[in-house]
Amino acid sequence: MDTKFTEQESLAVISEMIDRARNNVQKGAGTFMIFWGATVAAIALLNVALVCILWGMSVSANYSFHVWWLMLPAWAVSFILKHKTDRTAIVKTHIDKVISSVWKAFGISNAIFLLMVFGLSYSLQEYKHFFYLINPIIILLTGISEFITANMCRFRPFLHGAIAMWAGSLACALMIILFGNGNGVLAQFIIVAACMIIGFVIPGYKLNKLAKENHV
Amino acid sequence: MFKDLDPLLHSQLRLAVMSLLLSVDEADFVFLKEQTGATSGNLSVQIDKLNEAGYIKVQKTFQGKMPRTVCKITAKGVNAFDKYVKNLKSYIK
Repeated sequence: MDTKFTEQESLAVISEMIDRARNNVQKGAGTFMIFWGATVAAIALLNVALVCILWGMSVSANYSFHVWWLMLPAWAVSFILKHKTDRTAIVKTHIDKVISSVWKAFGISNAIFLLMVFGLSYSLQEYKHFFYLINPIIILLTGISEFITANMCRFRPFLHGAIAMWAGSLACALMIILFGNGNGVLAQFIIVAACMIIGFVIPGYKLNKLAKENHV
Repeated sequence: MFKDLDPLLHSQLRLAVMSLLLSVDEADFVFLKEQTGATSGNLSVQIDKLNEAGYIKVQKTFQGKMPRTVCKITAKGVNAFDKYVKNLKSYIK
């Protein structure tokens, strides 16, 4: 292949190679989205189930929120998966780097937001109103990150996912207005689960399918 | 005819490798082989030439027991590529 060639052929090589690198989708690229979508949806639905069980037992439903500690082992699994994927990835694009930074920023923003909510509610001894915001704000931040991801990799299902997240964020706030504390919070968790399936699991599955087709 | 064009870049495989590396942050030897369709031996020789010229940085590591070669374009490589494309444009005009 190391032959001399004309200027037109030279341009064709540059154009073709840039195009190939740009259109490259890594195998299993959507696996993280499926993992996080399924995990958060499962925890949210588990929370709903626990609230119903605790109500049936006439016990405070607040204990059910401890189910979210399961996010910590999920983070650990995700960290190990990411480390493995990075080590075996045969290419890392500039877009991969930007998207990775966006989701890191999302994680940091969530951590700061939760710290503020728990800090303020503890110091002001006012829990309800701050806690109502947790689900809508986290889904809102997810929508922002997914919107940027959609535009960076020009993958339409992510855009649909971002729209679902933003709509879900509004719906979560609306549930409290419509149904109040008890049923409103339950409805919020059902919306979170739906958003994660529509916004993460489905686009992740479609991305994996596309990657598989690209590598056949 | 192409005396202004960098002879190191004006070769189909080396130019293909440089174009790919310009579009990504870093790439494995396997990726470069897949995308260029070159043989391992030929690709290895051309990568060595680009590395010796300082156009790319080659990092050889081990993934388990398997050797792994990761390539990344350098600032010198980006400048050389930019100059090459500018010279190429003057021929086409």
